[in-house]
Amino acid sequence: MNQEFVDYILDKAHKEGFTNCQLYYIEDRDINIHTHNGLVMSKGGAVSFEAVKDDKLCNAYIEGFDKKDADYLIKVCLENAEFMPPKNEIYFYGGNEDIDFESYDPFCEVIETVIEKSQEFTELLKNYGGEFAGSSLNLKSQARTIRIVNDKGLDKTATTSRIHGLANLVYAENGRSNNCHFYVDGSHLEQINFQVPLDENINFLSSYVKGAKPKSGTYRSLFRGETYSYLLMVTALFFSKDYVDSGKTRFTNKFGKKVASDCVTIVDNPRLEGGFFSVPFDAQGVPTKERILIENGVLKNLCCDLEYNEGYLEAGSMTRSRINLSSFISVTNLYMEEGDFSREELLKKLDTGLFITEVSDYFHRHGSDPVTGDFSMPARGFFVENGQVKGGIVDFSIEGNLYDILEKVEAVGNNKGYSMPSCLYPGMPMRIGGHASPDILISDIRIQGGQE
Amino acid sequence: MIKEDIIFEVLKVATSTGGDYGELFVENSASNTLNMAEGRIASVLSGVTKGASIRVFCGLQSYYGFTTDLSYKGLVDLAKKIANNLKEKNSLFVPDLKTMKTNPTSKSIIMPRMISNVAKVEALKEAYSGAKAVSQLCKGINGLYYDMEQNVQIATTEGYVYNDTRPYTRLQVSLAAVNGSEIQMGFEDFMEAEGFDCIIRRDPRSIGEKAAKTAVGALGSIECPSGELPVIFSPSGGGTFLHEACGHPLEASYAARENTLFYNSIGKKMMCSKISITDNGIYPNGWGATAVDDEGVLCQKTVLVENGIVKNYMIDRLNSRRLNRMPTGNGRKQSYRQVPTSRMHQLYIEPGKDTLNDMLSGISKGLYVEDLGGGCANGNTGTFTVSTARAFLIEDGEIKNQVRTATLIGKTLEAMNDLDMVGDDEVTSFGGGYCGSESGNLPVGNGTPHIRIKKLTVSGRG
Repeated sequence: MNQEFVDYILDKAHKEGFTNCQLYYIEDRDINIHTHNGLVMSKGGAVSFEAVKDDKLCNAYIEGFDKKDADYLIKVCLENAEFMPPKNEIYFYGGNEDIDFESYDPFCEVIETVIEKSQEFTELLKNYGGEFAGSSLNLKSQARTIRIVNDKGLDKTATTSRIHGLANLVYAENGRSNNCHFYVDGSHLEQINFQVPLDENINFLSSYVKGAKPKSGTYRSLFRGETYSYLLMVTALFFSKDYVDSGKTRFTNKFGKKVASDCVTIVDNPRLEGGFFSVPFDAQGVPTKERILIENGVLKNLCCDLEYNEGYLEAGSMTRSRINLSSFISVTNLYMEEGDFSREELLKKLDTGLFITEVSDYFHRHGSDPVTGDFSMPARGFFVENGQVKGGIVDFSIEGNLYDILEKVEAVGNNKGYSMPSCLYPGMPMRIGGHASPDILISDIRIQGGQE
Repeated sequence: MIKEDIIFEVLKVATSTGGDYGELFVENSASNTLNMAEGRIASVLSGVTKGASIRVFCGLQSYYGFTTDLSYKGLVDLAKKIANNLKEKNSLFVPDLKTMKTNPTSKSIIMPRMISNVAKVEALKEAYSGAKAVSQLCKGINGLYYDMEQNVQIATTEGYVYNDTRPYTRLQVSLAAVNGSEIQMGFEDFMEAEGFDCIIRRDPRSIGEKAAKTAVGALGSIECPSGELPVIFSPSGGGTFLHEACGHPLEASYAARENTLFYNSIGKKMMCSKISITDNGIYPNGWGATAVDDEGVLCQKTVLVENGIVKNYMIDRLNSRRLNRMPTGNGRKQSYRQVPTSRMHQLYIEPGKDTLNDMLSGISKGLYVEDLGGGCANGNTGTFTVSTARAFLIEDGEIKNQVRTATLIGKTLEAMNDLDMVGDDEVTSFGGGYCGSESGNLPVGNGTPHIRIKKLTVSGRG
């Protein structure tokens, strides 16, 4: 989006009677390698125009940057101003701080480097015994440039990079097959490592193939970090100030109160070094900052935008994943703070119970209710006896409540596992933030398996 | 849209270094999203999506790119970028292009671009009023009106150019019923492959009422039992079950891969002989139906399973090469940004001969699922999950009290062999929804008559 386009649309909008105007520009440059299907390269830019007329806020977008496109944006906003209710306050940010945080890897735009990275997966997979026909990796490397400019003086530009890989491992043994997914991400290509997740997941898969169905009942359990981070993804919605204010969450009126066990600290950090969703300013142009949402079990902070901030709740959590979707309050890099215990120590603490290593909630919230917090979803894992991991368990589901789980955490591991970013509802963008968690020991979880 | 002579040039450049198939997809779509919160319009976002994608096949490898620059230079630059990845000596012969007529599946008269957003606001207000009138316990009543008119042009090196216009309209209401510390969600929507016609034909107020009644009805309801139970799905509930349990594994993106559920299963009996499954890409006004798919293959009605025997898959162009079968017009994608792959259109089970009374008799304890909220599936293993939105207990052959939401979990082959009764009701209404998968979020329809599964794992809290 060049300056000529910016000047033209702002000038014309003011002449049409718009009093405040803001442009938000996203340009994505993607390289996507799918080892099964091939290569995708793309470059696309789009702009949204927000403008105020008679205290009414209007919004339109287009994927084009000539005068005709600018005229279209103004025309649509004029039409929509006809029926929009006036707002008491309009929330455009005027601060123009220096961009003091970078999260960009130029190698993510070099096609040969990205192909080379994807080949690491294929080569490593050859080192494992067994049959992995049908396995694949989808590696996506994205550079995103955002510019936000308004007539209150704001003009900020930032380029960030995001790389993520989703592997589908299919393992066959003696005519029986099974599969699992693993996910890796980061802001720099060098962070992408396949060896560790391959070791762990292939080990798990070979046990799932021979796995047994556990009896229904309530078990003390250790959740693998990756597995709990899927549940944390649904929990993320509980921290949006607008959602809390709507009364749809148990966190309503719980500010400053105990909502989790002492060992739980949950953080949203948009400035996490190497974080997949790291970004210097939010979709309103407000500088981002780390937020400790739950500290030692106490609800301490929420994610806010310029409209919902009050007291010491600060703005800076507005997200716009795509130009054709409205902005919304969201976490960025959400994680549970690491604890002191290794996995071995946690298994010893568990002594006897279950080690839950996978839940199936690949694409959206199904199996979990973000309002009540109730969830039930298929899972896989292992029996644990005398602190030792034993045989694999399959064909069962776990069920409980996401709020209750926070109160049932007995100990937290010193590792961190990431879950694939997903969406809460079909039709929403597939990414609403990155999520990570250490292994966590839970006092009890109900499972539905074979007859008790 | 792009002129034929430019398309010809672009396809020639894209295949100048080899490849055995080339395709250009151009899109210009206008959409409106109106959000209402507590009776007031909270936001409106209107806009235009426009861009183009080019894809070249070389055997089983695909090279794909997209751009928002629709100028001749922008398209040729993208074509060159793709051609740079192929290093063959000979270019592909591109025949003269011929624009083909299509028969649009949507019979809409009032297309989204023809109607002002003011009328759409009124529809939202009616939906809100409907919800508000049901009970004071309803809080956080949100409404969403979404429409889109997608215009696409698809040209291939087979020499054909297709144009298709696809309108979509969706109205939805979500809310919470709050009574003391108890909160229950209510959600209702309709989705039609039409413009404003469907708003006139259907009653927006009833959408709000239904959402509110679901939430209020769930207040004080008993917990859903857990364990392996017989489950009867109503015609509005069975579609999502079918979509997750059988639809995804029958997509060629799964079925063409080794070690997946239906790999190499054509001609084999894989499920109960009462089951016949069809995917219909050309159902008039069908949510998910289109005249032509996003790879320039005319859509069709495809019999997937007949009397329990697998007859075909839903096949896109790339996987048709792996399977050595013809594509079935199921190559779909959300927009020019995504690479098309095999996806469902309108999937349904053909009616059988059983009555609902036949199904209920003999069940001492079971679940009657009137509506499902959605689900997910692992297309490799066939493990699927669906969540109930409205379900009732069956006791001694009768449908009794409403129960709270629960998750139903199963495995495709077990569930489809345990599906022992298929209702005699005509499948006239297809539940609409969005399916999220590799090629984006797509409108898909699905439907069943009443169906009974002898046992499914019900994960409730009772």
